[in-house]
Amino acid sequence: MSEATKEKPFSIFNEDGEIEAVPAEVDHFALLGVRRKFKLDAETLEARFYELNRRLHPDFFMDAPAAVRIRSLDATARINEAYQTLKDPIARVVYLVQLESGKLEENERTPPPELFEEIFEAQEAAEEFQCCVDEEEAENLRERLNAAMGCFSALRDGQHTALDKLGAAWDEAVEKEEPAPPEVVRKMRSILGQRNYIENTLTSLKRALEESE
Amino acid sequence: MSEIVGIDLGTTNSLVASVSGGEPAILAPEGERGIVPSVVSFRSDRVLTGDEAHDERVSNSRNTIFSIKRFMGRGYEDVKDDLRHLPFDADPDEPEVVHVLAQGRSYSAPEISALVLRRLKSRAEKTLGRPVLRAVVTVPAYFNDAQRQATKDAGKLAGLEVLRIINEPTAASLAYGLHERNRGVVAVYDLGGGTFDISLLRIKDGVFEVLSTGGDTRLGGDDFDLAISRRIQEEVLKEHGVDLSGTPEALAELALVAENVKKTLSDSDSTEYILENPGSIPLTHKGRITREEMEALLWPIARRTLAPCKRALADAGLTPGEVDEVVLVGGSTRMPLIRRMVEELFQKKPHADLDPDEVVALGAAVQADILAGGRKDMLLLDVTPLSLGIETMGGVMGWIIPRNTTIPTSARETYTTFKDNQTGVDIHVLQGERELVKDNRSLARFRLAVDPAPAGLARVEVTFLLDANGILNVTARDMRSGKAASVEVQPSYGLTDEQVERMLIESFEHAEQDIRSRQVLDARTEAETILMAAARAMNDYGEDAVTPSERAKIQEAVSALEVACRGEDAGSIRDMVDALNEVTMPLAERMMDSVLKSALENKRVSEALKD
Repeated sequence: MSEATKEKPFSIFNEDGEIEAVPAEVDHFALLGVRRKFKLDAETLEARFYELNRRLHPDFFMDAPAAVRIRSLDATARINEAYQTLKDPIARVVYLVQLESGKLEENERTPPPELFEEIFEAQEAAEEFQCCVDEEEAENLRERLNAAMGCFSALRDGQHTALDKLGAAWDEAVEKEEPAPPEVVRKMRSILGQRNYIENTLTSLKRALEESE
Repeated sequence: MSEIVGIDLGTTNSLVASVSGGEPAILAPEGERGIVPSVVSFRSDRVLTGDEAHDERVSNSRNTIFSIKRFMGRGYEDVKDDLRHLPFDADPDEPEVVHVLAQGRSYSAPEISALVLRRLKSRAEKTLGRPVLRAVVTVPAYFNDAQRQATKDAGKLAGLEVLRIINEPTAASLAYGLHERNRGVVAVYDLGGGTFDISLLRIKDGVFEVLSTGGDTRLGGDDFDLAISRRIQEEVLKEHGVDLSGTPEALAELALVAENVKKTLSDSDSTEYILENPGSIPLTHKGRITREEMEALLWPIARRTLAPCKRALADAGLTPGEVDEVVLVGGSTRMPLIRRMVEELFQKKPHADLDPDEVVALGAAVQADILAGGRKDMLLLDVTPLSLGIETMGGVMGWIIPRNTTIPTSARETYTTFKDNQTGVDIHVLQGERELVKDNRSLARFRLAVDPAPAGLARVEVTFLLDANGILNVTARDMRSGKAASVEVQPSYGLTDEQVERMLIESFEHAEQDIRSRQVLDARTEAETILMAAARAMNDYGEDAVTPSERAKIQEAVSALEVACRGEDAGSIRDMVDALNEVTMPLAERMMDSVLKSALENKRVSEALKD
């Protein structure tokens, strides 16, 4: 069953404008008062973030009773966490997918079989390159690393394009007040499951190349 | 609300400031400079701070403590190397919190800082004429939890409630951004006496949002001085065959000479220096150094600030060209070498309109004004400089809050038990960016109490909250019962609450003196109010409403109170206040009558009172 249909407006403030305790189950989207969508307007999000901070921040409650100060602190921490997650497109999609279909477990992130060999080779080349002393050999390895960088960057770009497409389908469903199509959710999970492997490989390749400079 | 001041507790110098009429100003007694050297000197009979202590750096070098900020929140092992270059010693029997030795006694770093803070507090009280009990204190942005906590402890020991710890570069941005609501992306390059920070902020509609921060808490002007001092030591060894490195008195003298050389070469192309009988060693050494030579010597140190700048840019997702303005903070940014380097990195001329020594304290005062409710249109959103993590299996860091997350922020983790009837779970919290626990900074160890139950049944949710000061608070909740679970905290580098309490008791004598001077200040304030009221009443109603004998009595009481105010006895000030109250009573009654009469004549009381 989809969670998206359960969206309901949430306010941190009660009728008198006082800060209420934020229940643990309120999600980041509800907290910032934006719809649970893949695409979010960065400026709207920032404006909400600033507006809420201006009303909630502990700076403005220094002389309030302890209970109010604690609510201000907790609410601000929640707002900050929510903004930190939602402003980053990747963190946001990971959060959205988890909200919809449960936590992305470690075992979902098995190395993709078709990439397994390439990842292994790239990591190995990176390690060799870092302790290589022979100049000619190093030049060889550098070329291999650069080629691998190109290959993995292309993979990442492909992932992003695919996520954008799936996200558009997701948002379309949300607009129609429908649950996200299960096929879309499944595909997103699979892409995100592979993503870490690609990112980690890119990081080690980049590090190896940078250190040699 | 009592006064909240802003304090820049620096490695070399400290300042206190406050806002009046919307503008921040450095507080200093008339005729004195704003800067208070962060130096404490212990004589056998008394303790000196500030300029008076600075004057003792050569004559009483072993008991004169400076640059204590470098030791805040650190352990003995961390600072052993630094101590070789310093004329004073630390206590090896205090491994967890650095204690320095002076006059045969051992003082923790927060206690030394507290003496500097106490000096600032009293100068603020003298200047403002009111007791000062609360403060915003600045720290380097790159300070970790233990260093922030140590700063808070120092405040407590000085009789100040530290309402907020704020980062120095962000404080500076508040001072710079006070009059312009939109300044775009600002880079603050802050190189002080002992620490380096870089912060990138976006300023929009009065919100100062820190995007990223980086730095090095052990890099600053002191390091430049040391490099110059070493060069001179080498010259002395070569020319006179004398090694000065083993003589603390000579090193203390040399440090001042080196600092002078550095400062002079910010304006001149070359300078000469003379050492005469350093540390009573009979020799005279003359030398000469050009700016070019000095820059070559200091470049390896200066360039260490570049990597943190580049990383902060990458963390904020910015290129140097996207930075709209660059602001320089800290005395070391007066060096032409640093200015050139910063200009080259960000491809624009840095601002230095405000005094780099004062700007942090001014910004702290602005933040104090925000906290006091005086300024509502500005808001500072700062970040945590270091990632927070917990130790996981195999000594690997498990990250829970990444660096550059806006504070306050929190993260939750659920813990369970691995053995039947286990009664506690140990959690080790660290800060740092390295993969392995051993390469990061240990903050504290926590022990969670759980009720005995079969393995895996317990569920305790732990909330790690970084508050607006960047200080960690840990709470736990038993998820089955919903009740709060107890957490025992053992800080790795820092004073426990009990230790702070004990030090407070030990400083009771000072505290008593403090209370006395606070009472005097309070009484004086009260006296000023009544003196003013009496003068006004005499002026307004004097001629027709007061008999000559009443007038004489009042005048007498006024003079008596004025005399008492010049003294230091709160009791006698209070007595004279009461006496003056008594003799002005008939006058006050007559004033009230006339107010009431006007009111009956359809005049509003508030208007009548204004007349």
